[in-house]
Amino acid sequence: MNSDSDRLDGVIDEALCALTSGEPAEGLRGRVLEQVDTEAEPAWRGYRRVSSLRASSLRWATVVALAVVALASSLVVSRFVHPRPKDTRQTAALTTRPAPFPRADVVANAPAPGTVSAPMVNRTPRPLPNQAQIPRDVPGLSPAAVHEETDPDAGGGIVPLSAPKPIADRPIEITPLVIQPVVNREIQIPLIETDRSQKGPGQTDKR
Amino acid sequence: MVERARAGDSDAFGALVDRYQAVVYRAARAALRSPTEADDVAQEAFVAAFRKLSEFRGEAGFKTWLLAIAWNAAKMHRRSAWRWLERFTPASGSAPPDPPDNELSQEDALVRRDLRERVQRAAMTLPRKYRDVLLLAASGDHTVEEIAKILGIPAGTVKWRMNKGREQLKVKLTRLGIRDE
Repeated sequence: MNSDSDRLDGVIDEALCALTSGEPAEGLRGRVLEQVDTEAEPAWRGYRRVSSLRASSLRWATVVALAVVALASSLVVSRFVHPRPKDTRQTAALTTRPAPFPRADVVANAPAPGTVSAPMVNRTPRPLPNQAQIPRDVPGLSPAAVHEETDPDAGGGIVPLSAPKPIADRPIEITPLVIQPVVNREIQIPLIETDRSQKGPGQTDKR
Repeated sequence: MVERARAGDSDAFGALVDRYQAVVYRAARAALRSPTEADDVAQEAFVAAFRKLSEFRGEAGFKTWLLAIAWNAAKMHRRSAWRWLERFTPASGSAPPDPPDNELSQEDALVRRDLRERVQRAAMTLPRKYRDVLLLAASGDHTVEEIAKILGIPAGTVKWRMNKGREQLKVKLTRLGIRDE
């Protein structure tokens, strides 16, 4: 039993050794020494380190400079090369000098203090269409009632045909309010059939 | 020779490369599966060792110090994303051909080769902490203390992992039908 276990251990050791066996490729010494000699020069190595730092900073500086130049050039182009069309009204309003106040012509035609100018006196309100002349001393009449209930026998005066009755003479009718519940009411939506045979221009029958 | 190499003697360092290149390569093979990658890692390890020669105090042996550098380089190589992807692909060149053995018949040689490949496949399925210890121990005549210094773990941990890894490997082989017969 012990020899069997040793045999399995031997198999395991052999397999593990086979996994790690082998030799490096030819010329490992030469490759190592070449790389070491290249990096062994202090000046060259220092130059490489500094140059790598400079290269990274120069890269960033180049990116920033390019961004600034692009922004500036876009501003210049938008401002001078392709200016936006100006609004003439806005420009005129900004450039013209405002008139003096009060204007001279208004001052010349102004009425004397305490008087009313003629246009103000003759100005009457123009009646609206289908609107009769309403006597201002009859309260509670609508223009339509006045138009319909004019009595020519009474001298053409305006008499209200149906004078407002007192509230007490009116019979009070109270109709019961019936609320019908809306239950199970089906809403029928008529189907609209479109005529597919009529095709517009450019349409094709996909069926 | 180490002192001469530290003083900048490239020939002395070349002699150190000649002496330890096989050990460094096998340690790299213990961490990596591809012989090509192990070769690259061996070269990186020697170059890194040349750069760090001034830091070598002589507290450990030069071989142990060099193997620790190689192991770290191999681990860094193994951690890369490309290596992670390659774990799911079969390794190439992991089974070198058997040396000719006149005592074994051709059938016995085939059986032996098949058995070895099955053991290797089972070993590659072990957890990494066990597999690394077993493979590093198999890569050379390293003592437990040397392996502990290379891996940066206590020697007792190395022993425990070696025993535990071997037990797990035997259990796997038993499941595969390979027993102590």
